[in-house]
Amino acid sequence: MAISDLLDSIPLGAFAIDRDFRVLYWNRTLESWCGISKSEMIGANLEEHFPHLKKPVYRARLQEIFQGGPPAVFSSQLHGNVIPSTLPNGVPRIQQTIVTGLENEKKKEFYALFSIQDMTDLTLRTTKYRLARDRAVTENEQRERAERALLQKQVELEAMQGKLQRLNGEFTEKNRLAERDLDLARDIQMSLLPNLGKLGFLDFAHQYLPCAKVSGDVYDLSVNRENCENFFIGDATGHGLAASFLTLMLHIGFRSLSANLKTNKALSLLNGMLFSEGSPDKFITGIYLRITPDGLLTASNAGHDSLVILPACGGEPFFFQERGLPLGSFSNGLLPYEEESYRLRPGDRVFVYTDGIPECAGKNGKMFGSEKVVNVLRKSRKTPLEPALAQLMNQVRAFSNSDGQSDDMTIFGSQFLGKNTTGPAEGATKP
Amino acid sequence: MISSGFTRSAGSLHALLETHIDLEVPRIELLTLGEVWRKLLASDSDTPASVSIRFGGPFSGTSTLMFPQETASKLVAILSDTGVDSEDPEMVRAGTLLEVGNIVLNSVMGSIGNILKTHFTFAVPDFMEDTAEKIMSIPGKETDLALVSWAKFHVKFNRIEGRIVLIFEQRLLPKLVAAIEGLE
Repeated sequence: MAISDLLDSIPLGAFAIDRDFRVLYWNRTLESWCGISKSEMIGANLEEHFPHLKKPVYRARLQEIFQGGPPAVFSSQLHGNVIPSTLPNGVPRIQQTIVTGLENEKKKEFYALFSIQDMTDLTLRTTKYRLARDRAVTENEQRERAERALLQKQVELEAMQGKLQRLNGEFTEKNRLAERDLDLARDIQMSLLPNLGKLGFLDFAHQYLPCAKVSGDVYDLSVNRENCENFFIGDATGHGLAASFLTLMLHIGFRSLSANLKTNKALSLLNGMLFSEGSPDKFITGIYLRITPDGLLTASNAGHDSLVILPACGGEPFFFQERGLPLGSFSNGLLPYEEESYRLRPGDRVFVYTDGIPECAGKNGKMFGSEKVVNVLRKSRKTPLEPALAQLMNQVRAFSNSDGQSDDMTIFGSQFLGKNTTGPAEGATKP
Repeated sequence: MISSGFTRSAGSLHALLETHIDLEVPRIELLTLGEVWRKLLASDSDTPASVSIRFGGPFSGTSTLMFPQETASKLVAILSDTGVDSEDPEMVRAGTLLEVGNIVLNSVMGSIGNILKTHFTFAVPDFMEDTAEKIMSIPGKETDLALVSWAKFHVKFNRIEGRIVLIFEQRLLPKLVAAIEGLE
């Protein structure tokens, strides 16, 4: 087999030159790569077709080959291609060229045989795999970083959970102690509320509904030596323990007063006591009233909603007009209050209540209202007192826009039972 | 012979790199294979880059040039500025080091051949990056002799160090010695 036939069969680009750079062989693969035919190249000067091969970097090393020296490697990474060519899609081929000596024994000379291997596919695949590997490494590093960060966060979370549990424990304990104190305060408060027994000439009923464990509403009762009923109902500012302390002070003040004092005098003294012992931003609104066995009702008002008198005859409800200042907030002097009076007839009813009832907010955002309170009480005037008050509270609860209660609610009702009493059919009489 | 070949290689490297090459006179040692392995294993803790060429003729053996990893990377970095961009740096590394090693070893073997007036035949050079033990896993006894040259040159203010290990087939050593003595 001739050497040219051999070179045409191998899957490499192959050609040979002599020391004058004259092309001796040019194989079929190179014809295909470069588009230059064998007939065109054989006998031609290689440097004329590929002038870059004149550079010293090629010439010097090829001279060693012509002298029978060792093979020379020309990498495309350092030189570009010895014989430039492209793939059918125009991408430049990546080649590795090795030049070995081919001995012509007859002429005692060496030719340079170029073997050109196409590394394009291998290079591109390697690059692709390397990029995929780098991506995988990067993703792995990112995942590891994320895992480390997650682990760190877990550690921090566990530490926070531990702290939270500890704080929760402390809070639960403090809460328990606070609840215990509230329970104690409630017990004290409840113990101070008077038992509403029946006086011969009066029937009583009440609804006392704190919105929390302790209440800001307060009421107290005393009977003087003339068997007159003295009654106080009030509403301290705020809620909770602070308000309940005010009610405690009110009880102490009320019980320290003489039961024979006029109602306005009693309020003045109570104001002085609360002002000196309390703080200016804490006060109590209230009504102090007295009913005598013969049906004389006197009352003084310290910033509270008016009492309501429902005549037994079905006439219009009667309201007192005076409004004094709330107790405990203004002046430590004896604030003057005005006393008003009314002559009750048998069957007349007197109601006093705290603002939690008329100011109860409904689902439509409006308040229950004092007018509605009075209307409900009027409609139930034939109903005994206790169920009548219960009916009112049921309606208030049904009206309310919340499941819970937002303010303390207290209402106190009394019905005059006395005999042989007379009084004006209208208006109040002032002493 | 080795020094002369090393000096010849500077010219080819200069043409390749288009920059001046400063050479240091190589230190040459005659060691046993066992000593070669021990020295290489002691100094190359990683995987050196190597180019090997097998030669035959009146004297046969293997000529290997080894660069430590750090030096190889430095050399590739310098030469990458002068060459064609390749998409794969590992292919660039292999191609670059193969050609540099080929130039140096060709010059050394060519010089030896000239001085001894001997014509060698050569196989195509091989490039490997592996442990020194695997690169130098040549059949032979520990007591077989080898020439080791510590080659150093400077390129663009970078110091490039390599080791050339020449192992001749032991049975031909007396003939080699006689040939060398014949020169004197």
